[in-house]
Amino acid sequence: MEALKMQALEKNEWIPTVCSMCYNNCTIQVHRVDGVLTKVTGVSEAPPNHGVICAKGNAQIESLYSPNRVKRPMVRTNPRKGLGEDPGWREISWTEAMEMLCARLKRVREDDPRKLVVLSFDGQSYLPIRSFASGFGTNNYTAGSAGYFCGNAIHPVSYSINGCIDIQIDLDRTDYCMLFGCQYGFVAMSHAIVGARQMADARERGMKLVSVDPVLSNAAGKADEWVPIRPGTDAALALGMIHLLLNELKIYDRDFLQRYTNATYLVGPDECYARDAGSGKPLVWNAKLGHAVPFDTCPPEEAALDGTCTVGGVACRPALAIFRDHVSKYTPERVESITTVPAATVRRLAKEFGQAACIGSTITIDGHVLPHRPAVAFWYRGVSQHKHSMHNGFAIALLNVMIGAVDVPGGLLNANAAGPFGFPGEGPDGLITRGNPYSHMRPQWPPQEVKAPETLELLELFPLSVYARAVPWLGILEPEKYKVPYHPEVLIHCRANIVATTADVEKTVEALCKVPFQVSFVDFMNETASLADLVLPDTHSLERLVPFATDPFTTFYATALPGEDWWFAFQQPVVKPAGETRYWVEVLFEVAERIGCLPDVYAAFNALGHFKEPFLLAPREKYTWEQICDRWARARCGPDIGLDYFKQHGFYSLGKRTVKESYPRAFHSARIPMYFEHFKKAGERLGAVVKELGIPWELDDYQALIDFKPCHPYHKTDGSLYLVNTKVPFYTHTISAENPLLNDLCERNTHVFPVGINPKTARRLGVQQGDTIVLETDWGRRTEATADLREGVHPEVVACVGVLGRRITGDLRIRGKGVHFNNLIKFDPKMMDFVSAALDACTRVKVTKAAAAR
Amino acid sequence: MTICVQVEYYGRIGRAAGCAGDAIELPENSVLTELIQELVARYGLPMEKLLLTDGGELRAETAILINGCALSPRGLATALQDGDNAVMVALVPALTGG
Repeated sequence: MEALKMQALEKNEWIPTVCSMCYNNCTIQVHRVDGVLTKVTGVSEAPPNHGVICAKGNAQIESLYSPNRVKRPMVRTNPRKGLGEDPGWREISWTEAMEMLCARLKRVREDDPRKLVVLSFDGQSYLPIRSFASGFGTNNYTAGSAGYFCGNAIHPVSYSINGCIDIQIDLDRTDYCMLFGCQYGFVAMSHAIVGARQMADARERGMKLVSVDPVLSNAAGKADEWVPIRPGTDAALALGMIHLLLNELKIYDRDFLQRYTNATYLVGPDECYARDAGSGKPLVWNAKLGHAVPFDTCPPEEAALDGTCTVGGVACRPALAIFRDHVSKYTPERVESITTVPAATVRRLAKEFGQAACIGSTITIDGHVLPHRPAVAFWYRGVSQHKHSMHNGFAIALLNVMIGAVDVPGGLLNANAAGPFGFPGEGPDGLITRGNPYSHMRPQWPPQEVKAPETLELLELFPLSVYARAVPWLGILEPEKYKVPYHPEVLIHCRANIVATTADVEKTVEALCKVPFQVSFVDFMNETASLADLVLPDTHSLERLVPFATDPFTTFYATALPGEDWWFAFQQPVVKPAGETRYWVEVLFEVAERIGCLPDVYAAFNALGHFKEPFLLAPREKYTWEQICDRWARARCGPDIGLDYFKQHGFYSLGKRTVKESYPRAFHSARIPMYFEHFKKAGERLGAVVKELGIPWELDDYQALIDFKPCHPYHKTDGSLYLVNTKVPFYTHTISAENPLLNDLCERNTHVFPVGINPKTARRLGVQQGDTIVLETDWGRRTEATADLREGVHPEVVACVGVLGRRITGDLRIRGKGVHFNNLIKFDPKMMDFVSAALDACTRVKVTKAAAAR
Repeated sequence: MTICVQVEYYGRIGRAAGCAGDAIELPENSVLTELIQELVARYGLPMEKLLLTDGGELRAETAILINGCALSPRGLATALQDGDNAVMVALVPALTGG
């Protein structure tokens, strides 16, 4: 292979590893000359990027060799904490640091291990981190960061629709693609590189791309059509399109709905399924026989989708009939009033989408005759970050369900429900359950148990969510109110600068300061680490050994697309760690040994990794990190594929994703919910628990029918504008902003640091291009920015990019530039979705010229 | 006739038991349910809360390996043999994701 040929050159080597500049884990090789890295490229034969890397990947050497890295342990000498306080760092030895850390953790573990919180967004290290936390005995792991806003309305929806944690688009076989509030295929989210290639190919082939977004994003700028929409109203557009498809155009996949969904399940006036008295199974109306039968005894084509029937003396209707009536209120005219998308556009989009689906058509792939539904609606953070996040996500997902475009060629595909590790299963009521047992998230079906809170995230009060990362601050700041029976004592933090990446700096800082002892592993000093009591220097990703940076069993982003390889990839150190930096997971494993819980960590590691003999770690033995990595590799890839193989080759392929794995829908009978009886029932259980505990909680969204509900700012009439956050492809995590090359790209792109505002809106406000303006929320949070007048911004919106406006950085060049969007989001339980635990990022700001404001 | 199962406790389960493991005697033809009932009888409510939901199902966050093999989350009907080794560890809940 390419890398091997290059290794023949003495002192001039190409070494394979994995990129960490975003979460896509691209396979890369780095050129090392006399011990110094000089270049990064892709590896042409290696998935997922096949030799191509992006600007971020190219720039990572600048981060590696940055003079601003933290390279020695440091202890705080100033007991006062806050972003304005000088921590008074004093460098100490690792010996001293470890003694300090272990003494604290030993005390906590003996007292109550739940008082340890582990906080990290180091996606490549999830398995060992989770093993450490489990072995220690805490139940408090949180990733903070993106989960505030991002996947809350994707992962649970994907579990319900596809049977796994994430979704992707069959770009090679679709003809019509609607992106709602996301930029899939434009180097901004999963499948960054291969998705971009597929998107380019699809557009060249003639696929129509429609971008629904308040901002003319990078994706919208390249789309066939940009549909500017009022922020937070995507669900109304989706439900309006569904109304047109079902009730006016009559374009829907009848066979798919009968065979693969609960659309035929009979629902009574109590909004619950009519059930068979003996088996308890939901009933459907067998139109041929003229009576109700358990759903799994009725030939799909004989199950009624409409009409009214009587079961046990009670009038019932099929779920689809109820849903049809429910969505009929979303007329195009009403949708226009909610979304600002013209009624005629709503009608046209619905018609185009429905017609593009070619309902009834088939395609033959490798001998399999499959339904072909070349139309897809896709969504992500822009739709998720709202008060009614879960409903928003399902509204768009149901567009795909109505036309039968789920897990079939051309449609919305599962990331890793079907693969060499498993296949979607059928759970209670015939509904789909997760196919991949390795996944670390909580599936939505069957709902999780509701009980008194034990975790700081109050996970126990979110029976339908996959996580609750917006919530820990409630558990820390107001434990009595939320009945959390302890206060955290120690927080270990790594690779998640939550003060910058989550809402409301003041509230986040207040919560962090309430934890008596904070340990931050960092490569660069940042806002979160500035609050630490102990700072430990973490390795750069080019200095650490991580098996597997890509593990298709557990890693959900950038999993194999149809026909692509399932692959494992190692991240290996290609240079010696700078200064005294150490990979934080290795440090934690040493801590575990010192405080006496290493056997517990190993036991958790075995369980979480689903390892089997002979690769299990013996709890009473001691392994080096390399030995653990070697076992891990062989456990996944076979006894002959160990650490040495990966050091040499970098990646290992399990073979192509098969047709059945790519398009599993036609190969199993588990059903997709389009009517949500379990939401209603989970809400009832939840209501009883919070009432008994006296916890203030909202239950309105636990309803059986998906709806549009406005966010709080929707009703404001004071002329304030929505502040919207958008992405550029060369800026993903806060580490990107620290990089000199990427900072230079930001400087050269005139839309990154200023905020976008529509020229008509600007005129109304008396704002001109380049003016300094003040953005101020109605709760008193304000910031200054430079106005960038451009047509590609919805007239009710000001648009800002990324996580900028940073206060504490390693590189002074980035400090203060741009707008810190997250700090203008209020952290208030009222702004939270009590189903998905998303925090509403819908925020309105009053915009004035700086001079006028002064 | 009875069988003897070696049980190892880790993480919070070890804390609830207050020891690293036990040799548990059970009637012949026992399944995992009987083992869990015995552990609950020995170690009370803290152990029960870690092992079972209020509905009496095995907790998803609790991993049980019998002779090194993971159970399905609902594997209470797993048959036990004399000399079996059962490893029990409570795991942190949800983790991954963006």
